[in-house]
Amino acid sequence: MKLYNRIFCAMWRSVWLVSIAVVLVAPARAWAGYQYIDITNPFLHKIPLAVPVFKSLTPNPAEKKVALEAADLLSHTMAFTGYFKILDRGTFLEDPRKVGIVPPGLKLSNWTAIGAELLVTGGVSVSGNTLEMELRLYDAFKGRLLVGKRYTGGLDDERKIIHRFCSEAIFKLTGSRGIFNSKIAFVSTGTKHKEIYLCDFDGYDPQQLTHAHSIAISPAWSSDGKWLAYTSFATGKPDLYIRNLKENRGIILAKTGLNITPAWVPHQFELAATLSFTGDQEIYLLTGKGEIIKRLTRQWGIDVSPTWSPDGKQMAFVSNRSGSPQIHIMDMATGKVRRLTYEGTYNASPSWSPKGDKIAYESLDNGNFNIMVIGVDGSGPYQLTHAAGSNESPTWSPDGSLIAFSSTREGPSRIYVMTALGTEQRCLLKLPGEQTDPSWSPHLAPN
Amino acid sequence: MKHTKPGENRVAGTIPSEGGPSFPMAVLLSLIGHLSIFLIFIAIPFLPFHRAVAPRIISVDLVSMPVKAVARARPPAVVHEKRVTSKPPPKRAKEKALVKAPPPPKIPARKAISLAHPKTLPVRSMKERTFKATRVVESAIRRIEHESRHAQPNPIDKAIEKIRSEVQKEEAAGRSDAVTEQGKERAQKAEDRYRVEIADEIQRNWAYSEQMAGDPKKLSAWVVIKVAANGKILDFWFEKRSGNAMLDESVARAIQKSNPLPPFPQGVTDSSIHLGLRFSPGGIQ
Repeated sequence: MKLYNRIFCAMWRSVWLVSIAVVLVAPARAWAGYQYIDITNPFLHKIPLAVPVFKSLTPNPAEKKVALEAADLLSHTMAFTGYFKILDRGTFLEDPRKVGIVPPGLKLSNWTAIGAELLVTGGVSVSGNTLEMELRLYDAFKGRLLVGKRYTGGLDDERKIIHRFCSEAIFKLTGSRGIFNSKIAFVSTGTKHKEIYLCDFDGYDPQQLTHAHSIAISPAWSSDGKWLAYTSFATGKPDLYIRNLKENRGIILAKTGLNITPAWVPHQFELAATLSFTGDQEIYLLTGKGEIIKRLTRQWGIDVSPTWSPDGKQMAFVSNRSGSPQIHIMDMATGKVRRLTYEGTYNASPSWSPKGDKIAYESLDNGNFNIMVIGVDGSGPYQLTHAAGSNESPTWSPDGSLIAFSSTREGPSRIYVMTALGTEQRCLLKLPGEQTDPSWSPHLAPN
Repeated sequence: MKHTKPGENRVAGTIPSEGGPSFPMAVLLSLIGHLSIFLIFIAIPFLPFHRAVAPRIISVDLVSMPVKAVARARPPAVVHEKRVTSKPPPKRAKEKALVKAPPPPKIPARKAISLAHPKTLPVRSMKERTFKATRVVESAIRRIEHESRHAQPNPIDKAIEKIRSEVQKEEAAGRSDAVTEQGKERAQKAEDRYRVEIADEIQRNWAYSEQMAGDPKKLSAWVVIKVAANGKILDFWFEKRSGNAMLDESVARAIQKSNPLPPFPQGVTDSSIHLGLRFSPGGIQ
């Protein structure tokens, strides 16, 4: 009887197994029931965007000039992101200035016909010194209005209006605020001295910040964009300046020896910097008022250029503890340090990406530096610049989509921008002298 | 000794270990019946009438299509550039023979300019070589002119013409012989060509910014489109979404942009076709 039971149980189990197999296999067969063809390469690696000239909403002749300027500025601003291919206006089938800037006069099918996936239409009215602009972003294929805004400001607010709309549009499309409310700090020798300058994200409106007629280097933005720390040789030795940008106040940390390479802790009024008052270069954690909180590194040798992970839980820095300058990561909770870079004999200027997964740095190769990106887990590294002068001091845009850096590819050092994938490398601005040490700000509160 | 009542077992929901032989027998019979149905169910896909429509996955490299390969092999112009080739590879030599291009009558200079020993080049008198080369060229031109008058049609052109006529025949055969095996095969070929053609069309309309999507990980979206005989896209749906809204939307836009697709070529007898497309931009990274 026992044998009979065993046979029965074994058969019962088999039936169950077969049933489960049938349940699992049947959908797989159904899924594989279509012939699949692989498409691996998009024909266009950008989104086609049409920006026709904006419409003048009143008979004021001044509006036409503003309408053209604003449409061009919007095209330029959207193209700067690297996301969009701006379509040639010569290919447009209809002119919103004649048919209207909203449906039903505006026929979105006329825009899909020329391949536009997105369309921005605008209307401008100028009355006295007041500028009013209404801007709309359409998904041409879905026939949907994605963003529609009306702005009122002074005539000189045109750039601000366009940037604010672009910011809205990018937020709608990507979920990120983009870069339009950010600035770049950099060092320029235009006055024969190394002074710190600020300019818009696209290189527009460069303004000199320091006037010490000395050497100012290594600018670093605080998370709220209100403070800038940098090293200045104004007193003859490298001191650390922590400066409030709006209120024109700050402090100077002038300890014996070096006071260099500041880096703000994300979302805190604290920063790390290298000090050498003990005779050895070590990284210290400081308050925004320049008081030492604690010593972070404890290794004889060089420890410089700290950069923080977005959550502030880790800090990358350059150390020669392994023989040559290499990038290391310190876990702030445990104090443990691990070496990140192993390729190359000289890796420096680390910059932690805002998304937290990568670190950009400069690596010496045949006498020139190149920009590299490495995963925080050590994956990669990937070289982003190739055989184009010396490329140094990478800094991430606040949304992590772009990297600014300095390059000597055209002779004098200039500030360049490229996408995070290393494509579309272009010069940001050309000023007298040489420009180095770029530092991209976080999102700044709109004025 | 404990005795278990049959009723208790049933309530407890366990399989009775002891009892009359009738119940296990019934289960066994039921099992045999189920197994038979199951086996028939498994066997059905392997029956011949089902094999014709058996699903399969094909992977087509859109970069190197066979059509282009033919086109690349066609130009015979290379054959005439004899002066620059000292030792043509055997394949090229065969090609030369095919087109019957006349070799120059005298090529003593060729020995001297063998690429295998470039150092011997300066030893030869340039004057002598130029003189001979001129004669060779003149003679070759005369010969080519002569042969061109009585020339046979280029065999490559003939081959292309043959392929063209075969394709025309295939298309002409169309629906009339669709019922035969040969006709089915032709229809399948025409359908396969059409599938590749429309995949190419959709790929041309695919705009996707990896940078904007901001995700370097490998993603893939699986879409099935239903196309009518006139090329109109009747429907499309995602069999598997990529998990990235931007990629999925770019795929949907590419399909919308491609509507309508070219109509079915002659020979495709179905009223509509289902085509699976696997969009994976990560494949190129």
